[in-house]
Amino acid sequence: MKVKSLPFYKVIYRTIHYGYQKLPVHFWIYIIICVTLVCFNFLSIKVLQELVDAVSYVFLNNEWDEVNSLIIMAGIIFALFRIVSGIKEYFNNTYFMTFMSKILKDMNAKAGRLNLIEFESLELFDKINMAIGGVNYAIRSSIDLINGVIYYTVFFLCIAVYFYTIKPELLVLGVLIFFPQLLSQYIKGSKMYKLQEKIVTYERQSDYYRKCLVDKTYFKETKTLNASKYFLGCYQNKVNQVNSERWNVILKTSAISGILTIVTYLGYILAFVLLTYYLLEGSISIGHFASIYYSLTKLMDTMKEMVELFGTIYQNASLAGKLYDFLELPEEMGMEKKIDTVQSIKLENVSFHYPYTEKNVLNNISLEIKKGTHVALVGLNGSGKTTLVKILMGLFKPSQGKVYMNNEDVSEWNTNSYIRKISAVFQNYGKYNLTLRENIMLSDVNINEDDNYIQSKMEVAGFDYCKENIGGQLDVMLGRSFNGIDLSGGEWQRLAIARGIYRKGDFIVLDEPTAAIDPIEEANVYKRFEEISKDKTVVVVTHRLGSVKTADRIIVLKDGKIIEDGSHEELLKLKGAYASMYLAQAEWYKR
Amino acid sequence: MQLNKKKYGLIDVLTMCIKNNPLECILVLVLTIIGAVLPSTLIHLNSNFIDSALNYATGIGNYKDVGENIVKIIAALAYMHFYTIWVQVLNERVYIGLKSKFNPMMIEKCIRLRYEYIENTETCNLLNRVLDFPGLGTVHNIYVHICSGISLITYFVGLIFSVWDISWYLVPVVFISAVPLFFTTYFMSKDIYDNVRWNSELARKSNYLEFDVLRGRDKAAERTLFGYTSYFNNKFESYFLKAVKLETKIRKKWLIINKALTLIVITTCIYIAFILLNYLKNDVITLGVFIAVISVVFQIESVLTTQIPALISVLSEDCEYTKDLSQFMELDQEETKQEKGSAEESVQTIEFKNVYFRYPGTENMILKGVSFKLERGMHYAIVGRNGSGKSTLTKLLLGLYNVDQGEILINGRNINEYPKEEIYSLFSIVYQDYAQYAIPAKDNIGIGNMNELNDLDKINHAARLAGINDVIEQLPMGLNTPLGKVLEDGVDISGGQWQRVALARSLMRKNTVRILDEPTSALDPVEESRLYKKYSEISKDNTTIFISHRLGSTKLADKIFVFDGGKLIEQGNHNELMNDGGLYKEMFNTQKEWYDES
Repeated sequence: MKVKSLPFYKVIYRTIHYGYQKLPVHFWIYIIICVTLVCFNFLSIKVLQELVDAVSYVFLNNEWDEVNSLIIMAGIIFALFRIVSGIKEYFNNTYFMTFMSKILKDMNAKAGRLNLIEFESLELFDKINMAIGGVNYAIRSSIDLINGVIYYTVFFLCIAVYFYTIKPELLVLGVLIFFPQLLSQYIKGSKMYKLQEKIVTYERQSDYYRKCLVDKTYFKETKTLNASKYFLGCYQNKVNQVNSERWNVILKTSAISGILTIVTYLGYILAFVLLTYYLLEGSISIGHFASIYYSLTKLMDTMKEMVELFGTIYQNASLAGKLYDFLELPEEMGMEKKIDTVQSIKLENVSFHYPYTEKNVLNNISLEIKKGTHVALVGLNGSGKTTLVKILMGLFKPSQGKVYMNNEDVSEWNTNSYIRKISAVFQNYGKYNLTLRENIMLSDVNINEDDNYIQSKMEVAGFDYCKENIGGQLDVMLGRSFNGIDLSGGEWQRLAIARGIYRKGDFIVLDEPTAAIDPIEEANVYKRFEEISKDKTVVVVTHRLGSVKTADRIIVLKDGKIIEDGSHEELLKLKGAYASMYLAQAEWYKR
Repeated sequence: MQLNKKKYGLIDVLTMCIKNNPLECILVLVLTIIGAVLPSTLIHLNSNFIDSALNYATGIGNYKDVGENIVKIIAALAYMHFYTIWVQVLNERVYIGLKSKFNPMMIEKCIRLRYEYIENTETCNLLNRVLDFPGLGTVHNIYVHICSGISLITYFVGLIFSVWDISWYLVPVVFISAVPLFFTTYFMSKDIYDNVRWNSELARKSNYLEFDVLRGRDKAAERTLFGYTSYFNNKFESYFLKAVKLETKIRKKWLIINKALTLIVITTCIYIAFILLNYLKNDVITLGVFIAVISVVFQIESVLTTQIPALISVLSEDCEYTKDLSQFMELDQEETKQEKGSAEESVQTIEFKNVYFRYPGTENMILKGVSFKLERGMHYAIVGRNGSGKSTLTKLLLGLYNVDQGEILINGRNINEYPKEEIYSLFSIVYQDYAQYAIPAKDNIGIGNMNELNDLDKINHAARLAGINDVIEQLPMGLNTPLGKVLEDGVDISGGQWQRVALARSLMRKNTVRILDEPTSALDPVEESRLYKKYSEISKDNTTIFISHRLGSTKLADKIFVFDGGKLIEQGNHNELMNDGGLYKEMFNTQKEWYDES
């Protein structure tokens, strides 16, 4: 898996541009605060130097009044400095969070626009994970950068001018101290970034093994299998891999920064010795010496701070790049097309394989479904039923062949146009920890239907909304996450059915809609469903052959091909795959 | 190192880290403390140096003094430059040590927790907080924070001593003036933490929308078809901004208080500067000392008004984690087997005696007075509607929950008298929500019996019985192919295939009670029928319990139990129950109708 990332400067440019576009007012306020703060910071250093200068001067001349007012001035400047930095911190936080909400919103929107097929691949998953990590860093690096550039440019300019006026040679020393630090942070940043790329897979795997041990989905089974030892071993193994990679990188970067620190250190010593020499020689005064010495220390600290900051910005920016990688994933483009009703859907020589695999899941399928037909799709496990309905619904695009809706080629359409009148109950339906109402209306958020409409759909699905803990209320929370009402598997499934039929459309796909529902209820659900969907097109995928024998048309899939197609009676007469499946199941009810 | 049940504070976390990596931690502490003492020593050295230089310039002193002071300063600076690199490397070792020793220990502890904690929302959230987010990495963070705390305090104490001889009360006075600021900082962090951070309902809801509804992988199909992204995205944003607003409001309140208190500290500093100036005027101190001390005063100001409050606010957040940690440590564990005594035991009888049960923390009785007896070698079917308590029976049989009333006896002994591990080894189960382990196919089946993890014959045999061998043979690396999408080169298989893998896994153990909970829900008719036909082979010499609402399966059973509303309402064989004309008959006929040819 090779991911090419944006270069550093582009990430920085984009992030700042992004921030400016989304929150221009915040951006300018932030700049103003930063400038104010740096002024105060510089003033506070300046006033201390003045004070030292003044004191050393009066110490020899006995003029105290000026010193008194300088001390008071220092106090005022310090107070203002602290207040402004408090305001900055406060504003910083608001800015950060608001910015975050904007980026996350964009990410969510992006996830909604991606092709469904992308979610089948592992790569996308890794990308999303890294992008989430990137959000924080993108914001941090942009905010820090604005701050850093303003603060340090001003600071170093002032210091440089100051040094220059006293002794130009001092400037050279400044550079000598500065560059090794910068270099070492740069190397460290890029090494850490590469490390991150390398260990992200290991970390995902060790996280997974931990889940196998303690996550709700696996806990019960792993425990009762007494198989914890196995997963602990796997976990430890991955952790050790991550650790040894990290350790190698840390050793390397530490060695490099050690060597570069020697250079910095020597530069510093040289500056110090040089200053002393000037002092003893008499070319600078004791006041100057003291204040240069003080600012040299301050310079060192600030430099260290700055270099570290830019180092972090560099590291962060590389991580932030992941965010843009995600936001720039290809989206499907296509024409907007207005569909009022689905008269027919036709597949012509459709083949399909999942990305990064070679095996065709569907092979050369041709099929036409006309409005009002009830179709049952049956076949063995892994014969491609779910994939086929996803193509019928327009969620997957065929790898080869064409799809027609109302006799028009849809390859140029966008998915949204195609699916406008299509609904479904999915095999792995969502159990949303939202309110009951939301659980149903989420299938069609643009229509505004009253409670009666929602209730009627629940009745069809056989969902008992009057049971004691719900009591007919549509706004109760469901699911355990937010202390809502926990439903049984069968109830969740009925809710998914209600959701599927809430959406207005005339083509509905039911993928194993009753797997978790008991037989009596199952028969009832089918009966009621038939009643409300007489003039709709229905495609049911199921293993319970008895439940679909009334379908107008039964299609049997095997290894991605249609092998039989006809009514129940016709297929029984054929004595083929369908007949043998049906009889196999019926056998268990003959006693 | 051992994990004990007790209250964990910040210091306990530090001792845990020290126990985990004693050498590294102690070295870090020593290096840090020396590093923190040096700045105040440097102040002293600097003032000596300035004085000596001044003396030399005015012709009183000699260059030897100057040189000596320079050497001292250079040496101190050398330490200051290099010790941080060592500390970084050592801290990395501590980090690695925690990850490879402490984390697995915590996970082991978690594995042995009583099952009900996992199903309880509150404790489940607690586990998530401790293990996942903010997670175990916080322990290292706390350690780092404490180290920087120690360094800061040392530095501060050093500063106090550096001006001690001049006037001992200077620093304490400034410190006392800053105490109110410390308190408000602590309360502010707590306030923000309690109200807005990730543990608040608002944050959890927006997280759920974000990670699950809007970006989650398993909702991708519904999300695309239903197109609800923009609707929930707006909702997400409104939650998020509400949280931001709340936090901003709290921060604003505290900002004003904090800054007012900061002013007190600064005023005190200015007052002290005047006192020092007076000393200088009256020749109590030298110019070098004055310059040194005045810079100390302003350093103290910065320590007191920014560094210490910043530390307090991270540490108070850390405290919240240690609270979770203490709670986690206090959760009860299952008692583990001490000696390997009667491990070879097998189940002769299982008896439910008037069992009442409800899930902890809920009102609703799931089982209301259930009694029955299972005997070795018999095949049982349990049928019933959704929510009639079928699957709960499995959890009770395994001792995952304790019954509220009545008792469960295995071979006549109460289930609670058995060590848990022993009970687990008596059963092999295909769960309704079977796990899809993303590990190689061989291990996926093999972990059904840890003692025969590498016994390829047995694994192949189990795969054949479960009807999954063809699928596995077609995988690119056969049995060694990782299933699912976690490991590299992993291959995803369909739901029905996963279910057969789970079935094969349960076939690895011999001489157990076999529980199959809806084992064919994802299987196609041919597979289902094949499985039923092979059932006698699968269940040879075993007691089996087949839980299903597909009544075709009852043909396999010697005895059928019908559950409804938490009660055992009918029992007997197929013919008896059909004659009774109860719920069983109704259910059976509804399903049979589908297969009647008319």
